[in-house]
Amino acid sequence: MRNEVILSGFGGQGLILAGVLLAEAAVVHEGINATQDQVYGIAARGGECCSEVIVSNEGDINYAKVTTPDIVLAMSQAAFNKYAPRVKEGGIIIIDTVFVEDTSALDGHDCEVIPLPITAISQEKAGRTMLANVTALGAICERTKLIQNQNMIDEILERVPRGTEEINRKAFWGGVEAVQALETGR
Amino acid sequence: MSNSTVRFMQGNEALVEGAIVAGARFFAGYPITPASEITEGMSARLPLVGGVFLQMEDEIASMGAAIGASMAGGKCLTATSGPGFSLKQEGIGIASMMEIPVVIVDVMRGGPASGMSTLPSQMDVMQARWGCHGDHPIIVLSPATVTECYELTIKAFNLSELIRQPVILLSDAIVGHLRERIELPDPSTVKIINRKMTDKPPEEYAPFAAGEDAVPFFAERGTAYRYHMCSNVHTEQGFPADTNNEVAAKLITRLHRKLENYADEITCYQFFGPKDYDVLIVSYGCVTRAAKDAEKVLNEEGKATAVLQLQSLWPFPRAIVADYAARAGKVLMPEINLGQLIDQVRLATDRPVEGLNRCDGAEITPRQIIEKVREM
Repeated sequence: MRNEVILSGFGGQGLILAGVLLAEAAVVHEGINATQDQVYGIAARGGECCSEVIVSNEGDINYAKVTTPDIVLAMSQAAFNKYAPRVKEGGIIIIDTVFVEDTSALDGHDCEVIPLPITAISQEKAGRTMLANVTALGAICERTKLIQNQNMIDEILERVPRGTEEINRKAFWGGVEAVQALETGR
Repeated sequence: MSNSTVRFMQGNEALVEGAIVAGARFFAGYPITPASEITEGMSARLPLVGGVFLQMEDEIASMGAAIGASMAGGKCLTATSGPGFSLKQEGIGIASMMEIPVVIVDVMRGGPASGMSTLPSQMDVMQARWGCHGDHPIIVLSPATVTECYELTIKAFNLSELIRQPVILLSDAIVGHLRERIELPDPSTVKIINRKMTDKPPEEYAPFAAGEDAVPFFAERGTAYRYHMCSNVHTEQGFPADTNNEVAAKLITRLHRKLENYADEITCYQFFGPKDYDVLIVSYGCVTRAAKDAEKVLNEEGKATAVLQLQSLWPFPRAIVADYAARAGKVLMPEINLGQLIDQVRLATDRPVEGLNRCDGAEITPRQIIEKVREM
């Protein structure tokens, strides 16, 4: 199985870090192969930002650019308009409804859109919007099973600054629970 | 039993680990995208191993500092990208002439000039060979994976010490920034080469008197050994002799003979694909990754294709390219420039050689290579 993931939004949302954590969890905690690459401009903060992850249990990953993603996280309207239409047929798109209001760019596409107020969940659960990237990882793992939830949170806790473990836990499980609530509600 | 560690690392980070294991204990540099992680990494790692990190005022000064520290006995690294690499050229020439081991990293980005700061290219391949003036020898190695960033950095230091020669590690923005799995070996299992020291007494020592392999000997600094170094044509004692035809011819041919003597140690490449093939793709650096994916698809389609990845670019491994090209009907050379190393491939073989090029700051994709080979 090979999964291509795009985490997109604007500089400062922690999306490159989120991509690194996702791929590192695959390599270190799940023992499978993964790559992470990124696209950014000269002025990173506030500008367009995209983190590309490939997770595979089928051997080497050579060319590591994501062309047709299986999974897209869009945390800004501009990122949604640019990356969401590239998703594979039957793919999954998770959007942060705090920033993405208009999904018309996807009209006619065969894919599943999961709308979650990711940044608001981070604020509510962890007391800050800064952990929206961790909340997004919770949502991605719960919905796609790309990485087991426990492996993902273990990876996050190994990498975050000491003293922030509790708020990272809250932010992560907030994302997991939001997806569960959405699925129960269906 | 040796213990290796599985890590998830960026190419630039793996390069730093390789440098530390190789014995680099001095870094001087000036940050520049996409090489800044090397500077950052060395600033974090060197103090922990008793090394020295200097952020200099610019690339010229950092090249000078690295040369100076190497003359004093340390293994030295500097790292930059295109615009900074231009500034380092004068120093590379000095290191070449004065036979000073030093490793220079150029993580290529789009040029010319400040060009495309955050986007990849392979536009410095000829600059790495001929960027500084004069008939100087140079060794250039080029990684395609995070693991190769680690391994070729160690090789660059080993060759640099063995041959007393500046070595350029020519990486690119894709390989430098890409993160992937790497299995780091137990450092105690890694082969490390140190510069050879004289066994002559101080009164008989001449700093540029070469051994049988054409490489001169170092002497311990701060001892009774007298040492003079000069970037003019110089005698075995290291003093200027720049109007002496005989000394000049002997010195300059010896500088090149050093590399010829160690050609087998320098040359490195990898081959991927079936034994029999119609099309040979010659690649280096990040393009190798797309070429390997294309090779799989093409062979599944019944188009017999192989990939020859050049890891050492200069001295150009002409015999290797000639050998593998002779078994093919046609050769394809994809490069993220408008065609630089392709001329060397054409000189190596009488098979038809086609280029596949782009200069827009994007990678060459497997799809592009597949479509091109189908037409060939």
